[in-house]
Amino acid sequence: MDLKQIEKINTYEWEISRSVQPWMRVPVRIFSDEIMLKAALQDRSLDQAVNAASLPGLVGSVCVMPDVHQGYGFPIGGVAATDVQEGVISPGGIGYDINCGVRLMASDLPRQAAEHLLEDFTRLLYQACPSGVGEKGIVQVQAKELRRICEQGSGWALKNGFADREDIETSEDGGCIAGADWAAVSRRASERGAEQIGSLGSGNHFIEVDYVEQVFDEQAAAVMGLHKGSIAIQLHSGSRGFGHQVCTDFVHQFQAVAAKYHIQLPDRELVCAPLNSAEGRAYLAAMRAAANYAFCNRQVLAFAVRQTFEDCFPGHHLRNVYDLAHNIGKIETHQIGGQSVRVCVHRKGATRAFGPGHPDLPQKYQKIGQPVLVPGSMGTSSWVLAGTESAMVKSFGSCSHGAGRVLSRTQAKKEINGGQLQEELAARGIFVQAGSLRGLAEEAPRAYKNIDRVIECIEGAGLGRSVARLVPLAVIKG
Amino acid sequence: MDAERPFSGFKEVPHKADIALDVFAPNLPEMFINAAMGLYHILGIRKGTTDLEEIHIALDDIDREGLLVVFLTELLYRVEEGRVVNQFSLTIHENHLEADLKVVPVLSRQREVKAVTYHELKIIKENGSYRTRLVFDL
Repeated sequence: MDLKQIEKINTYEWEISRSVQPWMRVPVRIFSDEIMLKAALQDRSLDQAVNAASLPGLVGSVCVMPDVHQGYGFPIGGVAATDVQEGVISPGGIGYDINCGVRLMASDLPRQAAEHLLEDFTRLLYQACPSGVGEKGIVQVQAKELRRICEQGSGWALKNGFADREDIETSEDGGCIAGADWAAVSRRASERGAEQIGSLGSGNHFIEVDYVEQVFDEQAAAVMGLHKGSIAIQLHSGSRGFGHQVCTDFVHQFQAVAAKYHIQLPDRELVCAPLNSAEGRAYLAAMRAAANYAFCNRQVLAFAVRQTFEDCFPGHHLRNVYDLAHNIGKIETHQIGGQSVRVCVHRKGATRAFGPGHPDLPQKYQKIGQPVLVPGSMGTSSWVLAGTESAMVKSFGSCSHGAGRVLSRTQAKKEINGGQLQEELAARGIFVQAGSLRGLAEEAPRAYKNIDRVIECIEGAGLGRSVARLVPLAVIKG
Repeated sequence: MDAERPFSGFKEVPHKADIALDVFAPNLPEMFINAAMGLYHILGIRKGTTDLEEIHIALDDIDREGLLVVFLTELLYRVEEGRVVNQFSLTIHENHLEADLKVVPVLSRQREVKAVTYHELKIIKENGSYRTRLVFDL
């Protein structure tokens, strides 16, 4: 793919026409400035977007976010919507870590009042929230209870004392997607998931203690409970081994299924099944079970974070701002060519970003739009945006999920010393508690794109509206 | 092709979000075993020395690439159960694999691998030897 094959629509929108490759059923719409677009051309992310445009039943365009980077099959930072009657569902378009996502919690605790206790607080958080390779979760259950978790999501956490009502109301889909089916989940997925509820994982998963450095939209920030100078906490985790196994099971199963339905694809990771088939319905149901597992996982972790916070800082409370998914498939209604169309929106490394007035938003966010959480890398800022009506029109109500990688893990490991990085961050006032210095090196700030530039592109394209910027004070990595 | 490429073994190659391995061997069973060693290398496994058990597995898939993914996925699952293969005896016929595996405990591991992917997976036989590239989701 080169720049000559990409048509400029405006400063922040570009298009790869269907004519570029014979298998493309729809064009690819890229949201980016020219500099970030040229950077995206350094890897195969746009070729992968072009490949994703081969899926049967696609509507609109395949959308590419400014933080896009090369994945395996679908690019990371891609959105593709398929018609529920005529189209397919593709596990690769959602990802192995089903409902990997982010939660943001806010407080009225001023940074200055917290600073002297920050390192102790972070160490306590590290102890309270299991993280790292192979760690068991806060909650370990038998299959019967795991089934309830998959059917109830965060609702299970509420019933069992790990959540309050506001947590549920301010989570995407109320922390539970209807239509999960335990029968569609394999025994192996169940075995892997039974002991991991309330565990962070490793890799790029984290808990981050931030403060609200700047507020751009006072009204929206006030509704979200974000106060300039106050402490906020982000949590990034997903469906753990349970979700990984669900995706593995169906990517494997669908290798033969794609052939059964005479679906030809340029990459085997794009395998799919018609939504209107037994196989498609089975995956959708299992994916929902995994999504609900992830909602519950993050809720249980959030509860532990909140308890630790309130023990360290008596009189202060952490309230949920929002919890959202960035690897997910959702059945939604969107306007395409003036018609209401029911579609399956695949978001892989992309978040939902519904605008004001959308019926799926909780009452408190009806006027301002959905909170959109865009974490940067460790050591850089993170952003809170609000969804826009423009995103509903341009990108199936979707937005970026983070900063996107520029260095591979192999390169990062070679070029960056984890111990030195930890010291550099400490010198900048960012305390890092990490399970692995090698893992830390792989997640170094310079392994990622410039998050402020990503946000500029999102705003420029109208996919989100800046509400606040957060700056890290402490980070926990598994 | 890189002139320094080893004839039988594996080599880590850069991949933006994840990790990829190039795997080489003079025959298919050895390539599967080298891929397994590569997976264990990525996982950063430290293994024990006490033989836990000997297990027999039989796997089928639609093609050899699928068989490789299924084989490595099986090993990944067993690592999560705390078991790593110390000795392999593998036969592959068409798209069918039979293996006798001597298994020892996993003492520790450094990294989590979410899955073995099918991304651009092709087993190539060239000049009497086999090679493939595997991408793992981290």
